[in-house]
Amino acid sequence: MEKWVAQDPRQVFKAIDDPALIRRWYGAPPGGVRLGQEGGEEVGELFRLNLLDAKGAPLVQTGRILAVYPGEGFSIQMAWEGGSLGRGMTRASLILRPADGGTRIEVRQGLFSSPEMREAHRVYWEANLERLARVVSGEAVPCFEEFWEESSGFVEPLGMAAYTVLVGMREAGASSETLAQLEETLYAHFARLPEETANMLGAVLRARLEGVTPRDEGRQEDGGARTDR
Amino acid sequence: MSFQPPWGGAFRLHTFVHRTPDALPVDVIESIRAAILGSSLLGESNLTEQFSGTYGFSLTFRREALSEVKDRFPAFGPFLEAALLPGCNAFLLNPLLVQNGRGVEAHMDRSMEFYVDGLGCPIAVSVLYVQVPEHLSGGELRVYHRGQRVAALSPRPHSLVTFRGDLMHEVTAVEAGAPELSAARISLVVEQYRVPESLLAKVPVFELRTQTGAQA
Repeated sequence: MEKWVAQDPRQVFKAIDDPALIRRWYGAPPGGVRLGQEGGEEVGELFRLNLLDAKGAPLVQTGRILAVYPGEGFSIQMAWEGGSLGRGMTRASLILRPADGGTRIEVRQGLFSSPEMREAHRVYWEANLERLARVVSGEAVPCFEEFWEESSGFVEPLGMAAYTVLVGMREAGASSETLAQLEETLYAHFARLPEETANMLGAVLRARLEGVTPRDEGRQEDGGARTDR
Repeated sequence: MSFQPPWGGAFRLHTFVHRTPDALPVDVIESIRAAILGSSLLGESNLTEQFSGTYGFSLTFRREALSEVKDRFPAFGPFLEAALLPGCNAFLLNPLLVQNGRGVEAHMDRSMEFYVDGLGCPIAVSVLYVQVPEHLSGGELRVYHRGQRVAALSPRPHSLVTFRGDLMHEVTAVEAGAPELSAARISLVVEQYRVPESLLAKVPVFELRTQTGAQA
């Protein structure tokens, strides 16, 4: 498959070569999330890319970078654990070619066990190249790892709630003055919450995020022995 | 647990770095310098490949071992008292010596993942400038947030810089002014972590590491 972008190959390669940029576009399946990468910092070294699919189910891409062609692309060997992209090992190359004042990005991959697997990987690469195009155009494509690292300074459910509100506003374009005022307001008021209330709100937040109902919780505590009237 | 301000209250979303000039008295910093240069532990860096060509050693400790650290390295005590954030419970302390032609490539500190897989970055990193050669050229600390440079700090003697632990950072190559180890750009760095109580046992109470490995 191919995709054309307006930037030259040198600019596109930067998004491949810079670890801070590649994590913004490479790895996640359509609608999914890239959680993080282990290993693979050197050519030939095994990597493990932890992902979530569009339904939030975990899947893993394992493999190794086979070669990096400075300014021109890379080749990779990959396989999947979980998900619907098959189990077999395949090889892919992503090559950058100057074209029409920009870059034509060419992806080749094989061999696939079936036409369905080939189509699934075409859709996979389409999502990845779409993000790559946004990254090379200078867009700060939302990146789980960046938000995760930044949120590490916050603790407990109320801290996470504050982080989500504040960064949500920042990403929506709120001015730094507005954010600073809101930060001070939130921190000043949250700090006055009695610990008991903070704990209770934290419990509600956890339960809401986990999608459990109070009745579910009761069943779990009772080991499922309680019957409904 | 009651609400805890982020980063132990040391930073805000748009605050990435603090710099305190003249953070410690000159004689205290001279003691730190002498302790680093005179240490038998000093050798090529045992940290990640981004530190290649620099010198130092590292010391991992939990807060409960702070008095032991001060006993073993009394010169470092005032720095630790000035730098450690109250909400952090595990630390990696390392002198960093950078000579001409060397720097530290861009990286994010994750040293504690050596012990606790997946722990991630520290809450904050503090840097005391112990020796800044008079004619130093280069050796600037550059700090990045989501790909954008948010600070570029030339080392100033005796100053203490603390930056958020979630930030990518680098030390640009020293171009001149530090021709030998005794004349190097010398800083004392402490990465400050908040390790969940359930994982804290994985962090050694006190461990020295050099390029040859761990030492008691």
